[in-house]
Amino acid sequence: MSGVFQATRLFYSAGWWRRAFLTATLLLMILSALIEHAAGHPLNSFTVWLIAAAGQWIVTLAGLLVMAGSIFRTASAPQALRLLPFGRLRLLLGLLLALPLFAAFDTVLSALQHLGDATAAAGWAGEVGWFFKTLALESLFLLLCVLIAASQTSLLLFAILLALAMALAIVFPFRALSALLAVWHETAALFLLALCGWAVFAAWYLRAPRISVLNWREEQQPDLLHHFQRRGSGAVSSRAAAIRYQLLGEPSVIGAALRIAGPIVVVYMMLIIVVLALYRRHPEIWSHMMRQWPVVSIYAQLILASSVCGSEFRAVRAMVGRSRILWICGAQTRAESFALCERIAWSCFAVIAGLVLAVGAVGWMLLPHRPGNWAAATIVFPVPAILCCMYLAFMNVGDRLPVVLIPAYVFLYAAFYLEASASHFSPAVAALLQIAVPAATLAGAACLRRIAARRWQNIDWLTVKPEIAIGGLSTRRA
Amino acid sequence: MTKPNDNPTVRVFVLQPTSGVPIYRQLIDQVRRMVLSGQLPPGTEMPSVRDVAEEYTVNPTTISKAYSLLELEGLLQRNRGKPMTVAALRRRHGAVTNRLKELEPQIDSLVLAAHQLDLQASDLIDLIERKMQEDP
Amino acid sequence: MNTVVSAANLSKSIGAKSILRDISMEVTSGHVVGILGKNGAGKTTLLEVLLGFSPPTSGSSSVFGNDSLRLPVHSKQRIGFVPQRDELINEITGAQQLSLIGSLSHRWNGALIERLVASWEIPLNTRIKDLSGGERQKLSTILALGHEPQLLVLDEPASSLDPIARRLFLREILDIAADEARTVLFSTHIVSDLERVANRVVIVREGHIAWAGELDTLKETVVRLHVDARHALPAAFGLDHVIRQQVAGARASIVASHWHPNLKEELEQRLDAQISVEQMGLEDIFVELHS
Repeated sequence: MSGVFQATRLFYSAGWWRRAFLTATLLLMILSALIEHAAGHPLNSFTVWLIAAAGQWIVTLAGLLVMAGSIFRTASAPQALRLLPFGRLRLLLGLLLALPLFAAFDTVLSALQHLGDATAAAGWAGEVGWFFKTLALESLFLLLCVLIAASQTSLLLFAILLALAMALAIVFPFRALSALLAVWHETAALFLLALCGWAVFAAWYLRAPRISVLNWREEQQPDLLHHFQRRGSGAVSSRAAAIRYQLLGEPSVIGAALRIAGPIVVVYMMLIIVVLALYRRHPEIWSHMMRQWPVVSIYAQLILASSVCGSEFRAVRAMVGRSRILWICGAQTRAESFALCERIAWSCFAVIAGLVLAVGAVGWMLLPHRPGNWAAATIVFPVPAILCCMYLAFMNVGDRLPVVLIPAYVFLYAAFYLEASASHFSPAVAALLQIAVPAATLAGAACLRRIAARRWQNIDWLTVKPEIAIGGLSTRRA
Repeated sequence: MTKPNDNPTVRVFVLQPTSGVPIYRQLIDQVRRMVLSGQLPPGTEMPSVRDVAEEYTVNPTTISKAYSLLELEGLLQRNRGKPMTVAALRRRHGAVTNRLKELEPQIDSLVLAAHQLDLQASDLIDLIERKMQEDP
Repeated sequence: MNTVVSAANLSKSIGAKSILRDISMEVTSGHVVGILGKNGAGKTTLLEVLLGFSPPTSGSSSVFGNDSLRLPVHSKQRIGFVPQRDELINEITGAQQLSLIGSLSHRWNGALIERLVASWEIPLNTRIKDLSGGERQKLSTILALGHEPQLLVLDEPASSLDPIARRLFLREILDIAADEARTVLFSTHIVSDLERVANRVVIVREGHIAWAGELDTLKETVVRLHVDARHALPAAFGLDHVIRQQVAGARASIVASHWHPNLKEELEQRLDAQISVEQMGLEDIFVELHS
């Protein structure tokens, strides 16, 4: 039993600040729910509503982010768990314990929120329904993470299957889809769905062969993308190409970007494309989604921003480590090597973020949505946040997750203000916010750049171990 | 690349890098012994520093140091443009006591061993006299 | 003879842990300097701070007369560095890695590389991740030799090599050592390599320099004395710099540093004993200095 708790703790990651962070968010959520309840419905004070909504939505999503990140990491690097006796089993049991707890907590919160308000809870068939729906959501999310994290091959297969299914849905109008959506309200169906998801996850996670100490070796993942990428690396043509190769571990920026952010790009673009394609044939799906999850747009953009933030951060961080050898055999001074790495970081940014944000912007432009400048929100707000992440990586600060979360939070609040501005701010104030927030974040990014450039003069490569492989799913450290 | 060492003298030494005796001193002692015993007659060409260093995989600086000290002692002589040669034997400066001093380390260990084997000085002296008569 | 590398009161701590404490040393050109120390003594940290990979907590270091952190380009081009853990790119072949690093250097001796690859038997057409540990280390070393650096810095260079490979590697180091203008600085715990190749030794113990100077001098000044007296020996010998002593009645064994042959007669007279001086190999010296 203690093993299960140990695994749960491992799962939420042992760092003390991470536990502190989660505890703080949980407290804030309870506080916000109580405040909202105490203030009564409908709220007449905007400030109170702000705090309550902040606690309810943003913090929940942040908590989900932490959890998602942990799942992602655990699922993508199961080797470490294999060395612990019964490690994977314990993790599974830990997950079994943790996710329902989280779902229960969410249910309690929503119950607190809608206390005395009978109509609001009706759409979710009461508390029990809410609990299982949340649990189903989490399980599906878990399943998705597993599918993405298993290997790039599985991701590719998943993408192909989905594309096929979509093509079919577009060509043949699937009337039963609406009926299928109605099932969403059924608690029993959701419970079964969650169980299925769990069974698949457990089967996948446990079936991998046991590794003995003798064959503990870097796992050779049969990655199709890698196979195609590596073939083309011939003799290096120029000095600039050699430097880029050394810094990225790849001959080209696009190759590196694909490797780092491949899964995220595929998933996010799949999401947009799925919705776009379905919308053409089944417009009721979109309105259904918007009705049930008013915050789905923010949610998707949160995943986007944090994923792109995370990818950019990881790419730059790996470059910082790999620039070590360039110090001795390269011909640049420290200022020059900073400019060099910065240029390559911008190229990575252009490829990763450019593609994802562009597709996102197109998606939101074509879909009906709440009033608010979403097209601007998908580009104008995330970009400075991603730049902040980039320069934070240059600064070689300690653990990664908080630095990635900070800009993601900035972006979250910005998106939230947009959401709120639709009903609570005057158009003038809303317009001002849309300029002020990105401008402030950009200024922040510029400050970070200045600090990073100065820190680069005295960078301590002893504390940044060069990451040998900028793998999309796991990095092997030196 | 290493060319075959032409000078067969290069293989005649026994150098042990892991010994407590520094390499240069090992070489000096061995050269001295060989010159005094006649194994290296005067005029013999010494192998170059580089050849010795390559043959025994040791630092050339230490060989060079040994050769310089041997030259100072008068055992070797430097010829411009040509490899070093063994110098002609001359009366060494100093009395018998100086020469005896060089044998002192060996005599020390001999005496220590004699003590451990519980032998008397007279036994040793007899043995030494016998050995010196045998030597050509 | 000019100073190639120098450190003045160099200290380095990472977090709360102090790794290097007040280290001052100088390396002059033409020498082969070996840094010897236990695992964790700070050898790797010392080399990395000297080369400017990491800023020191206090003190300073310089290479070719320039401050380590601000090495100009022409200085860096004269340095070759072989790190302890190789930083090769796994997915490419050896030939591609060589051409990669080759295009980063301004002066790349292709003929030398070819000779070394052939002599050291490195397969160039296999992926680096499929090479054995020893082959990776050999490749890593060749990468640093290609541009014929004037200062070659190696961190535990032969740890994965078999004896034949190690012999070939030492031959190459000696080739470099024969050139007066080139310097080699390497850290190791394989003492026998050091005894062959190095002419100067720096012993690092817990972040301090325990001994620095010529290898020959070290062997001549740290000795083990076997004392055989007529009467029982006193506890104190009146000899300075005693590292260890074992007394059993009239016999004793003393390990002393700073020994000079002149001290022998005086000690023999004072103790009324026979003393035989045993000179110790570097491995024994190292063990004694750490006891």
